[in-house]
Amino acid sequence: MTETAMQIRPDGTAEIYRRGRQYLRIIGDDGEPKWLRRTSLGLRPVSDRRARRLERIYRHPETTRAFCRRPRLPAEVTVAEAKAAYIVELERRAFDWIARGHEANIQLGRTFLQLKELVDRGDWEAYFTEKFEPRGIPLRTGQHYMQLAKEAEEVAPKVELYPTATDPKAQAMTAATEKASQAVAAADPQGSDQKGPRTDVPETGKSEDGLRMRRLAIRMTQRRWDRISKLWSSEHRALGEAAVTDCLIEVCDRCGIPSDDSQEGQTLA
Amino acid sequence: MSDYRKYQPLRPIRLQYDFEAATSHLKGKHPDPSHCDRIINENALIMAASTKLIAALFKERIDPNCRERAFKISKLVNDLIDNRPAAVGTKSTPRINKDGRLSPYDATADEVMNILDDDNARQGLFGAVKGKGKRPARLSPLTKKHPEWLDQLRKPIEVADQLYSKYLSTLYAVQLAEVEKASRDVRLWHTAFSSAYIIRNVRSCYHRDGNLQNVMSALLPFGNFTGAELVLPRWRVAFALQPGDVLFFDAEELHGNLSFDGERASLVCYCTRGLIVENSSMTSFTR
Repeated sequence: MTETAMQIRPDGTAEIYRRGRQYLRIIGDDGEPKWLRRTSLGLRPVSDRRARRLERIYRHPETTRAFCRRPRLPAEVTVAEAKAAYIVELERRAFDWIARGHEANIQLGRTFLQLKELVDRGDWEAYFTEKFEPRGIPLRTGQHYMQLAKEAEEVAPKVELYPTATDPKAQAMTAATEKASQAVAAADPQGSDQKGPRTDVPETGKSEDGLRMRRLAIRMTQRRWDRISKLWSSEHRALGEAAVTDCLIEVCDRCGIPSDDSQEGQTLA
Repeated sequence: MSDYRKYQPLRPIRLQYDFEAATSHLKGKHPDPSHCDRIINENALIMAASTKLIAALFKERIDPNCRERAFKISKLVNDLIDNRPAAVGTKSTPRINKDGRLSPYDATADEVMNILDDDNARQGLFGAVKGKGKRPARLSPLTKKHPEWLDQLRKPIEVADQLYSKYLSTLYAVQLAEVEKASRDVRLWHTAFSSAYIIRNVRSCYHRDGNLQNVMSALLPFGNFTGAELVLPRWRVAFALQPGDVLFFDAEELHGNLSFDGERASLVCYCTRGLIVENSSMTSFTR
């Protein structure tokens, strides 16, 4: 960058970009201007010779290109400004609707609802009393208008705004899902173990031999878990299931849980 | 100074209407161009009528070399997308055993997986995996196996972090506090993100991500593609994202992509839920 660019601020400070470097003019405590250079280590004072040159440039701005940095506002500031502007706009709109007469009450109620969302929680009544009661709208009336607006919203016809996508990929995916659902519907549900409520299992949930399956969530140590896993994958699984069921029935007896079936002793074994 | 590092002001755009009620049934459905009234393709700050911050789009912020590196990593991830049925536009159905009986376990149907496989769709999760209940957040298996891949993604993640801290400082502070409160190590380097998720060649359906609530997730697309605008149906707005762009939005909002041509990958940086668990035994992956 060979061109010199400078921004002079009203308070006498300035920024100069010259030969790839940034120089800042600040006013020191003694009221005298000082020149600083931005380096990788931060701002450093320039030599007296360079300061004199920079001061000369500062005093003859016509030799440089002027620039002006935009203020870098964070999003929140922009949002807060927009919010403040919007509140003013909604207030103006509300005043307009008040002036228009009774037919506009629903619209006024909508505006009040929007305003209520923006006003801090708990401050609404005080805000309303201060802003709108002097205009002849008591709080109760305002609440009535808001209720009217809510009711009008409920009966408003629902327009189909979101039609189903029709591109080939979407259709292929929908067709595949549909095909999978049909395969599930056609599959034999007897093998289903209990895993929360399931709609595809018949209401009785029983197999032809009248037996049901139950999944048990039992806490145990890793060693025991490994050992039982081996049993479950062996040919002795049925024996294990029978022993567990007998054991649980014994616990039921001990806890006084009554049985309503004389054949309940029958196990999967 | 190249374009991608220039300061560019964000144009505030306030959307007038909120279609929350009308979009309640859309989860798992494919987005369609008719679902949006406006496509945003500039540096912009999107607000609702109530001035709630919806999204912030930054154009051309990732340097082409970083994009290229990230895209290469996206080609390496190889996990099947079998755990996100709503996001790919299907639903979990019970498995069918070889004997024709229904299994007690649900899964994404084979037909659907075949379609995804034809598109070479894959995913990979780096960083922290969501904690649940008393189970603490933990490192994803991919991070343990290939920490060097995560290193290759460092630059774009840090650029997203810088943009987040500079332009959305309040939300950033909330997220950073959450990450720092959890554990010193539960973060990707010194950013406010705990996890980075890569997804390749997937046209996502409307879904919500279970990331940390009330903060933003960063979406960075890579590759060579046309289309794939991100649609937020609630606001009837879409974002025309191109490689190098960074979009911040609340992933709790329903969102999905329009169809696209070409090769596309996207990197999503976010802070996961469930980072704070008593006596967490999270392993450090900060280098």
